[in-house]
Amino acid sequence: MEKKITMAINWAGACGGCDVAILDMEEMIFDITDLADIVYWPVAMDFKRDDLIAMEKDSIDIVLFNGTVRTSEQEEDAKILRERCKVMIAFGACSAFGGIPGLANVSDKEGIFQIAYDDTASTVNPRGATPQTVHKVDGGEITLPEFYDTVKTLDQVVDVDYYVPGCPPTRNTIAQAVGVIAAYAKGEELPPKGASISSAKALCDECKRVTTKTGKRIPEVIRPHEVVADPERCFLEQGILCMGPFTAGGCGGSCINAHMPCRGCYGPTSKLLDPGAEALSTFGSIVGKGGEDFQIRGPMKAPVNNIKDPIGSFYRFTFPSALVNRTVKEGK
Amino acid sequence: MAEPKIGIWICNCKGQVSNFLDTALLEQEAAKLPYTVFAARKDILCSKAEMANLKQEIKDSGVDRVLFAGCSARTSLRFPEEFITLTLDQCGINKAMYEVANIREQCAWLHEPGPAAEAKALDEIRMAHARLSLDRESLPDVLISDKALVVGGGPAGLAAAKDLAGVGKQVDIVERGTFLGGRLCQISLLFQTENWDGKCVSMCVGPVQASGAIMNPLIGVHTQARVSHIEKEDGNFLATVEAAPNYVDEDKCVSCGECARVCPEFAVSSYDEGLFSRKAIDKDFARAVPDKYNILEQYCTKCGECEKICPTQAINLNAQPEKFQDTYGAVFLGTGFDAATVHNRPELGYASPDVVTGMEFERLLEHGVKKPSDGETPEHIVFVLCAGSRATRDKEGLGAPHCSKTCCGITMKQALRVAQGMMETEVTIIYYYDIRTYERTFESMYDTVRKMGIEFVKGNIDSITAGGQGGLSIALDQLDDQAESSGGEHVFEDGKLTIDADMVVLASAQLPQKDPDNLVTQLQMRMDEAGFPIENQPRIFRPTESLVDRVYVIGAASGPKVVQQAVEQGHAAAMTALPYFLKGKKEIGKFASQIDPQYCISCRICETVCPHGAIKFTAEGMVCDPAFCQACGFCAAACPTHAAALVNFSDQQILDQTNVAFQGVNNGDPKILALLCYWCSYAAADLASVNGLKAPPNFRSIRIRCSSSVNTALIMEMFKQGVDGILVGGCPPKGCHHINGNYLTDKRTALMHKLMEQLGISTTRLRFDYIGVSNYQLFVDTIADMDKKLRDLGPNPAGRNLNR
Repeated sequence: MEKKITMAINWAGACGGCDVAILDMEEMIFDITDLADIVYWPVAMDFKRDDLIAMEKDSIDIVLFNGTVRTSEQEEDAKILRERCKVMIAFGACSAFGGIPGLANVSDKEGIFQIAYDDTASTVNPRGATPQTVHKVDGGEITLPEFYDTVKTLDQVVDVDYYVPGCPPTRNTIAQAVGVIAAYAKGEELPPKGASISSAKALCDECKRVTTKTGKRIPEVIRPHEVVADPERCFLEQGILCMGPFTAGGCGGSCINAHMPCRGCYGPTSKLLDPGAEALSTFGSIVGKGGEDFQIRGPMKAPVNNIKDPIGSFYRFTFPSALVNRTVKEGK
Repeated sequence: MAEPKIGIWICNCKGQVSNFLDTALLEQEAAKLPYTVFAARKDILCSKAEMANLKQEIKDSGVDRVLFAGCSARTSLRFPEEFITLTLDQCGINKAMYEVANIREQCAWLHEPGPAAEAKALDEIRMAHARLSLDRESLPDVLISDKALVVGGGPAGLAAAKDLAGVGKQVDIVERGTFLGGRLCQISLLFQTENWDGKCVSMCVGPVQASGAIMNPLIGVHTQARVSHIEKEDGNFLATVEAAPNYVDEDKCVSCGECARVCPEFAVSSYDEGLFSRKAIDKDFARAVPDKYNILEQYCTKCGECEKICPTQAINLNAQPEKFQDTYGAVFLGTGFDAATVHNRPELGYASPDVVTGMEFERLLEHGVKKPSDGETPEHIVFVLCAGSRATRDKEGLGAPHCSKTCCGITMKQALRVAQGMMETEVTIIYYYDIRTYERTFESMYDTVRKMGIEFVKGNIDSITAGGQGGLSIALDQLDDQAESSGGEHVFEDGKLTIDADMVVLASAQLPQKDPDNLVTQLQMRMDEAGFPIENQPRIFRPTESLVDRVYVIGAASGPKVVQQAVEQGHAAAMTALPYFLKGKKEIGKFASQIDPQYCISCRICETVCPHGAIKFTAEGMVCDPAFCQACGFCAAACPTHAAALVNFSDQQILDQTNVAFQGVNNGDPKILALLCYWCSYAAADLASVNGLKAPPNFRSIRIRCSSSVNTALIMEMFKQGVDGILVGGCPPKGCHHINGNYLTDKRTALMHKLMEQLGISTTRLRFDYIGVSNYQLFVDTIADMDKKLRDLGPNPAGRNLNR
């Protein structure tokens, strides 16, 4: 048998679903262990950070990094891993483009602490304590990582070789990623740097509902909970916003098959400049019943003004990787 | 791809530019730009002598693309884009391979002379250069068929067909009815012209018009036929025509009428508006062309009596339906009008047999005016104007919103015929607010009618019901303070009046003919509220052209018309189409959309937004036909995958332009980018300085294809590049060249503002305005206002690295 490669799996700012997704591969996980020795996976195996720090430069072949970079510790981890690995893979929507935790970029450290340690009804915090990076106690000081204002994607702090999208990545996508790992182990040709383990085309290309799409406008935007949607017809045809046209395929349409519109967890297709502003451009063009020449300006704009929460709708998994990746504060 | 070879010519405009800008310095700097192999400065480029020099220099220098810096390519009266492309053509350079830096109207004249204006001029040259570097040759011309399809054999269609056949082109006329001539044959007395109150007799002119077509070997006449399918294919129209079986051989039929005499089946005659019947085999009227008897299939029982009696063996009841397919270079829709709204207005009493429409009354005039219910001569005929038209005031939503314009005149003609020919019959005319007898003929008839003492009542119909003396009772509401009729015979009491009559003629609205084959949908045309196809902009100069290239809407299909106006339109449309037929090709301009099948997901959103019906759905993905594309860029701005993109107006070109646009703007001065639509807003920016206005020198403009041609992601990218404020200018309401680009941009801007509010970016930074050519004051005011507000706001925060 050929020499095994080495692999590390790291969990940063994320829900843990990506790690579960790896476990959820069931027997396929042995394909990984056949190919690689796992030298670092703190959530599943007994490794400590010091073990990692002790490793030599380039001693890990492949790192699967899931989660966003939210704290200084996560950034350090990313840098330590990068230095010690040959191939860095952003695993899951969070590390690839920010994921759901990335929506925290509508706020900042102060705002988040205010809610978490003060505003919420269940909080009892009479001293108004909030996490500090350094706290003096008898016998010295204890430290915590710094909580950043802004959630970052992995490639905003270190160089990334490949992206495995999804929230979490599907079994099929992980299988394809394992294929890349196998190719690496066997010294075969690898995808070009920066490649994403997803389809080059948008989700619609693999969606069976696309055949029900006509050339009609969307007279009014309907939110999924407001209607019992037709299980066969394209969601857009029914006025329900679906991110399928903007989102790379490869997931097999799991949400669509479960009768929910695409929320965009496989990230934008390759030619898009910005995931959300692109969707905004499209929906701004087709929402409204048409015949604007015969409408008054206010009512004419009402259907687009009824689109709630553009960030949450159009940047649900991608906000930290957007052109404008967080909120700013400025006058009117 | 070979490296570009750029030549740059800067024009002093005999001091009009060089008195304000240092053009020597501009030349020096321009020469340093990449790929520049030639740079020169001219005293006045548009003079004959300089033009000759220019052509020589272009040839000698071996450049493959040209940058002119001088006057505006949009509004210059001497060196506009049409002239530039002509010049390039003479030099053997493709018409797309040029850009213009507008350093006159939007720089030298618009800003106070000084370093800021100098810096802007150089930035404008850099911008044009950036765009020019990525320009590519225009798409090849598309060959088109020189055969025309005319749908509808009425007066408009006949006029167009005969004109085109007259210059040797083949035409197919597809007529749904059994004869040529359309409604003109149903109207026995026609207004001879609008300006002459003599009459013309349809039984005379109808056959003459129709024969002119049917005798022409270049014109194929297909009656009892329909266009069942039509689609655009490679710049042409591929149409399937289906015709009823040709039971009667025109060659053999001598129109003796024996067949109709023995035919046992009666049929509804649409020629007689259903008031009189014909036989299943018959001729609708003696002078109908083609000159043969015809069978209305739905009434024929194939009993064989006609076949037996026919002395010339012209009838073959085993004939089969006919079907053929052909390719056409242009389509003329002359499908006429319908008077359907009376059915939707129960208060007009149309259900009663003695309440008839104007067209029905024309047939009664021909057959002798008798009440349909009992065949008696009516004693009191009441004409009701605006029956289904002008439904915007007291009758909101009830019928057509427009004035059908012909009905007042037609009613005067009909009233006059009754008054002059039926001495025992009283005539009353009920009108709605006013009488609109435009032009000399109609007005002179109105004058005559009034002098004859016919009673005019101003009122709004409340109801027409059975009852009263004579059988019909007309209840009226008073409209204004006019309570008395013209002769004082009727007076409103408490705003109410009831008039008894035994016959009512409704001057019903002219609406588009029903379209059972959905031709307008198949051709991807846009309609107005009443269902009439919308003309292409600028409408006043393109009166027969629809938004779909080479689809002409003629006659009453495009709006209410009298016969003469329909004929005028037929001729006009033929002439408009003629250049295509003579050249046999459609030339493709600098800009056109292309859809990359590698990225297309067939979501059909491009098709949804395309106002010109240029995009079609195929098994291989969406395809844009350049022969129909008018390069508005809606598809590129709406395409979710960037599969759709405009040739010579690519995202990269716009971003490259933006990237070099503000090199000369001092730190602290707001960087304002004006994205101005091709026809209106860009010209407004030009005319500001022509009219002596000044604007802050820290704005730059990009002439975009339409306000709706720029994807909002590009706008976001521009903010990311550090642009402080963006103005998008579009045509004024109802003025967009692509129907709704301005509105779509207005909507997208509203949505973008919602996003910006969430992001915490001031919405002041993105502004959309409807800026027409004459709104140049609005343009400079807007730029000045943005400049002031953006100064207060400070630099755009989105332009910074936001990772903290």
